[in-house]
Amino acid sequence: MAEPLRYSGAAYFRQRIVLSVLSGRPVRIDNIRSTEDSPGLSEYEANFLKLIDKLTNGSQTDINYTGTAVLFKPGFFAGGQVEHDCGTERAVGYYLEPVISMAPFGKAPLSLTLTGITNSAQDPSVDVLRTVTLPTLKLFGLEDGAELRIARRGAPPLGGGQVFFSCPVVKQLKPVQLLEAGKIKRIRGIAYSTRVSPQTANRIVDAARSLLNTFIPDVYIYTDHYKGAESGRSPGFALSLVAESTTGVLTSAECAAEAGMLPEDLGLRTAKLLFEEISRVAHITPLHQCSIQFLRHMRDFLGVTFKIKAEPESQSLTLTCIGIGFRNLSKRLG
Amino acid sequence: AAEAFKLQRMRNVMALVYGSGLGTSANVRQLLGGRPIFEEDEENPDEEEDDRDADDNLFKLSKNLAAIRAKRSGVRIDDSFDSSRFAIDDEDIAKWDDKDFREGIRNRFVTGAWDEDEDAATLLARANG
Repeated sequence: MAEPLRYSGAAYFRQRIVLSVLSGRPVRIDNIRSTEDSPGLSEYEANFLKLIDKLTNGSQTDINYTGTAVLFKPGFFAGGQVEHDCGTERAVGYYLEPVISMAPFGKAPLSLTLTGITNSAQDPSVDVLRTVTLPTLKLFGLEDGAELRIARRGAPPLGGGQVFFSCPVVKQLKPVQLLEAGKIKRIRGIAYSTRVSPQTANRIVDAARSLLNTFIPDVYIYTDHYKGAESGRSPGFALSLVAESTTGVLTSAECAAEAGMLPEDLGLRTAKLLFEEISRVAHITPLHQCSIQFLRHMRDFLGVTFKIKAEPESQSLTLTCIGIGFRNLSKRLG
Repeated sequence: AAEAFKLQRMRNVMALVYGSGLGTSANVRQLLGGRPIFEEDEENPDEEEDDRDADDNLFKLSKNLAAIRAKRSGVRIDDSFDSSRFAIDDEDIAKWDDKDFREGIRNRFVTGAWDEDEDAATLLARANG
């Protein structure tokens, strides 16, 4: 097998593992939190590796005694029926994000059941993944079969939520061109509450609307109150907002309640977050730290270099690349 | 001059993203208008010495030793938190309380002003005339 790619530190752990699986190149990560009081892999990273082990066939993971170094030799993405407990350190989104980027290239369609925290302040919530990430997948040609269903809500700290994710396999992705940001024509949202007063969701919506409606009348926020077996183990509420533009570009913002937060404050905060995101799309495009690192990783693992052209007039960047003709080799022909 | 500066800044983006070297990512963020995530460490050559001098304690915590060793060998250790959520400061959120500030994104909505060649009224007039 090829010489492993080497990295240092715990950052971008998931990206490195995902690209290793997709490219088939082994990866070695050293010095994971080697200078910290609790060195080595954290529980959620180890749990993520466990999930990768369930999803792939033939992967080999070697972790040193202190947990500060990992050598990962990838197998192929098998898919099929998988169940996994995400624990309570990170939300379901932490695990689902990397899985979504690998699942279309599996041997068999994936149907994955994840349990844990559905909405947290650190990770993308299941609502945003469902209303933004899945529609984006459609642009790449995954038209039917990709679905995310939220069976039970789980708020931090105890979680207890459950989601089902299913994804078909493809031979190849369609090339995508996204150039025009367009103008925002509607805003949709989901306010959920669990184990609190059913009125909470309405209070969130009223507060958020008071700001959003100053720009556009077409605002609809669904309220969803979970009770009984669907409500998870902890009380919680959250709001996620999605702005859709005339060209189909989706901009989202979300906020999950922290201890002592009022529903009104949460609603206003999320609306302001959405404004902030919208203004970022309009003026300067601050490439996310994470995206920059992803561009670098794509060059390391796959040899793809994007041409980044600056548009001084609109103060934005245009990214272009020639694909490498990535094909799903494990999908059976015919 | 401001325009020229902006242009220069944009041209460098590609080199910054793909160029390697210490502290590159921090610079990218600065250039694109954000604050650097990693503060560039002030090189402190006395660090090890200080540890040795503090011999009041029999056992010393070699917390920075690995970091110093890594820095010497030219490896940058990045242990930053792995999340794709964009961290937005409270300051950035608070400024949206201002009504005038909010008006700044008015034209990003269909209810705002359109470009001359996209505006429905102009297009209609052109089609009729």
